Amino acid sequence: MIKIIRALGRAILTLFFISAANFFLMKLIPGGPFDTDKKVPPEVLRALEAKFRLDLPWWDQYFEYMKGILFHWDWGPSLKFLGQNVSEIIMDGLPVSIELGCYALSVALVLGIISGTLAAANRGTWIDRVSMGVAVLGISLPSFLVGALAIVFFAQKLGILPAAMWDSPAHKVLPTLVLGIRPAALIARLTRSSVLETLQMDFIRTARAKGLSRTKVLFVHALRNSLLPVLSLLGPLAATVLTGSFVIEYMFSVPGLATHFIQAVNNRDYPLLMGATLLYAAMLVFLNFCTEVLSVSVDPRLRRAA
Amino acid sequence: MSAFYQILHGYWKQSDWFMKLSLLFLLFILVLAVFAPLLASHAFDLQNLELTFASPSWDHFFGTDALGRDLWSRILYGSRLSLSIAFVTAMSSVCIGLVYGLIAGYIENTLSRWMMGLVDVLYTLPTLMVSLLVMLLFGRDMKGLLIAMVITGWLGTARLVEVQVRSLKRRPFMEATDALGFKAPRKLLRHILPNCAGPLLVELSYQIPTNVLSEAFLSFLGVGVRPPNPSWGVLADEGWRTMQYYPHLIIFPGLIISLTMLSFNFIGDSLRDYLDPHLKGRL
Repeated sequence: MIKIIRALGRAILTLFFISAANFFLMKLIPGGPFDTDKKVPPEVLRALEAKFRLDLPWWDQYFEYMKGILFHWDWGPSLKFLGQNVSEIIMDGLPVSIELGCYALSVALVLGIISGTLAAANRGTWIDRVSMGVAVLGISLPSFLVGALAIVFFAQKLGILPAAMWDSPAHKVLPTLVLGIRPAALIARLTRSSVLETLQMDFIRTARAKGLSRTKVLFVHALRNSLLPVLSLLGPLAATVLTGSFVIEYMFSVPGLATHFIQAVNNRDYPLLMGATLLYAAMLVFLNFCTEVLSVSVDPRLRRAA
Repeated sequence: MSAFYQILHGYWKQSDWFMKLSLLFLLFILVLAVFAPLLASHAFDLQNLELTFASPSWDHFFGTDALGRDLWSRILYGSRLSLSIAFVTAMSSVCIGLVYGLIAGYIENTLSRWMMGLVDVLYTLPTLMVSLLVMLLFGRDMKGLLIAMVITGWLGTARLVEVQVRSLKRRPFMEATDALGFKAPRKLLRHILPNCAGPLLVELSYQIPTNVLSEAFLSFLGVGVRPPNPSWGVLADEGWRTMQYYPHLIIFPGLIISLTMLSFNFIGDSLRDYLDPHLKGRL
């Protein structure tokens, strides 16, 4: 319990730090959003700044901003998409990104855990070699190349799957798979080494001696005790998926948050950038917190070692 | 330096033919990059609008691109740019991480806990996102790219070195240096630093391919290296746009990037297995 409270405190502190750093970083960036080639009269500029509350001191702006988000779900106006709020844009892109991320992560978990376990059980055989070889490929190949190959092969040569957009389930297959490959490879390698370690344990020998079948020992006794490292990797894996989504959403024209993020970088749309960054950070911190709580509640050994 | 030499020598002696092949391939790419001006058949930005999208031939080994520029020459210069960016940024970020980790691991007090807490916080953020934000601050060009990659790259080294220093401090030979009355700088430089050579090498062997990939990602997304300068990311971006009709424009850059990344990862994995057999196969 104390561990969980401490983890929660750390998560909140982390978020506060990130939000403040993020806010002040944006203020440091040279060049305002209203810099255009045309000469804007100073009084218009002042009026604009007053409207977007850019004339207050920094710390007041920061507290106003955080107050707006926390109490009114008001992420401020977007500076480039006129008349649209950041919260609208975020709510527009976020579900798509989360959907894509969840699909990719699930595919990665299923593929990675199964192939990693099989590789460990058949150590040194062709199954092991092939799955670990594929895993190295998945880690080494940049996702834009895998994506390009997938588009050429599945969309253009075979013509069975669409290459872009995000409408029907068929549209979601390629982005999901391409995004899931890297985390799947990471999970497979981790699962393999973890299962190998568990298979050395005494209780595995006991289970075998008891007369349980190899499959049952492997998937029930060994796998269950090997998944903790995988679980604790969930935070970094989510970060991997998130990083991947920048390229994948761009390649496959998926209208997600990452696409908006890249647009915002090019448009210098600070409120949108700030909001998206904060949201990403919040999701990752939350996920890390969840993994920590889960690890503690799954593994009694961690509970005692406080 | 001798610590590095010893590790690499021992590693080379026990490595199998596959690792030697990977090393040779990296050496080959390095030679291509270093001698690009001699090996290139054309200038990398020489346009020839009468010969666009040419297929590979004797005059243009890898064909030409949308503006009739020679792809072979562009790949050579691209390797030069991509590899030098990756090397320089990996080296500097590892150095920063080393100093940070040495200090935090050595003092081991409240300050160092905050120092490592900061590293943990930054570590949760995806590097590509941080890079994009940093590049907004410092400019979406080469300078911004270099700074962004150094800023995101030093965290891993700092963590690794800090752990290593803390465990080294508890070893008997450090007690001996206490007994001999050595001062902190001497302990750090002569006794702790050489024992960090292993983690540093492993980290470097990971940071270089990571940075190759980040550069490619960022340039692919249109920030970072700007055309007409070729880098692997720029070439992949250009090739990807026309891959349906002219696949050679993505195949050749893709092949070079993939083989380089594979070689780096093979070597990084086996180097880490060699230095820390306990971790064999992890991640």
